[in-house]
Amino acid sequence: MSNNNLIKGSLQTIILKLLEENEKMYGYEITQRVKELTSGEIKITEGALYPALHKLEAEGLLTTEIQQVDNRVRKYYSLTKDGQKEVTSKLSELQGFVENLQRILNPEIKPGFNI
Amino acid sequence: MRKLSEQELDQIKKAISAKELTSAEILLEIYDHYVSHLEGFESSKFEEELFELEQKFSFRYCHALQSKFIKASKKEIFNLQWSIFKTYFTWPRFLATALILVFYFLFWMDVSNKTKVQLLIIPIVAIVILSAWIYYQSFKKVSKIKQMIASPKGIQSSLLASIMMQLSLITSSFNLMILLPKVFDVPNYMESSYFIAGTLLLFFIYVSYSLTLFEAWKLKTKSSLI
Repeated sequence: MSNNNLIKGSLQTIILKLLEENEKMYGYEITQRVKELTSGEIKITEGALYPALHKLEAEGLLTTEIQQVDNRVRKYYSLTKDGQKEVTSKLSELQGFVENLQRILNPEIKPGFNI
Repeated sequence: MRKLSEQELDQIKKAISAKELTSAEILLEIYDHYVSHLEGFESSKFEEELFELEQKFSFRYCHALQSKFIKASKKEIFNLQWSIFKTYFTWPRFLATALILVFYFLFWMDVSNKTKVQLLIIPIVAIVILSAWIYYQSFKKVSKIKQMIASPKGIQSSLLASIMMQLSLITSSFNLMILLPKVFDVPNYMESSYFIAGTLLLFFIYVSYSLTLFEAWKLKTKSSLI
């Protein structure tokens, strides 16, 4: 599944979930982690990643930290308290959507089916 | 993973500099992305990978990203100040603020109308001093990025730009209040009850603004370029 349109809708959830598992991450690290976890099947484009990160930051779900790394400055993102709460709700929202999608694609699956 | 040579780093800096970006936050993020990506390749692949990055981070894309970030920064600072304003009024603070306002109002009733207008200058001066301090702190932090990447246009923090824009709105409102009646030669405008009510309202807005700005800056200074 490498369709950008499919990823776009769940990008915020992916970012929030990754940051829940890792205390703090920087932009490039997020793209690489997604690539690694999906064996290169999902590639987050820079064009979508940074606007999504900035939006989440402006909404108060992410906070940033600027650190000196080698001879450059790096911006790390981490979850705020509101962001931590949002992960659970976004995940259950996405899970519900995937379940419903499964029912549409495969009507033989009964309600209550868990992925 | 390898360390890039000085020549390669210069090449990256030149490529980013050519994008004529002004937001320090965007510049540092793009530079870090380029370096992190290119460090993962052998020097023989450097040119090819840099070319690919340049396709992704095109001039147009970078400016769109910057413009969205500036918008998001404005929203962030405003939301932060608004949430501080809302959460500031716990009961003890509410009572203390109400008490101060009562004393201020009693004092305010006793002074001449001209002095009432002059009292507006106190919070304005506080806002200007605070903004100058924030500007200085941001200047120090951004100068590290300026040393790293030169841009033909001035580089500054987008959060600082939002604060400075708010500051200009504050000072404009003050000028509007004082100068506009003079420009239109309105007689005895200082005696007007609307004018007096306006100055009291502006005083409250200026004080609230400077307090929330200070609190917002305290929160953001640890994690950003202001």
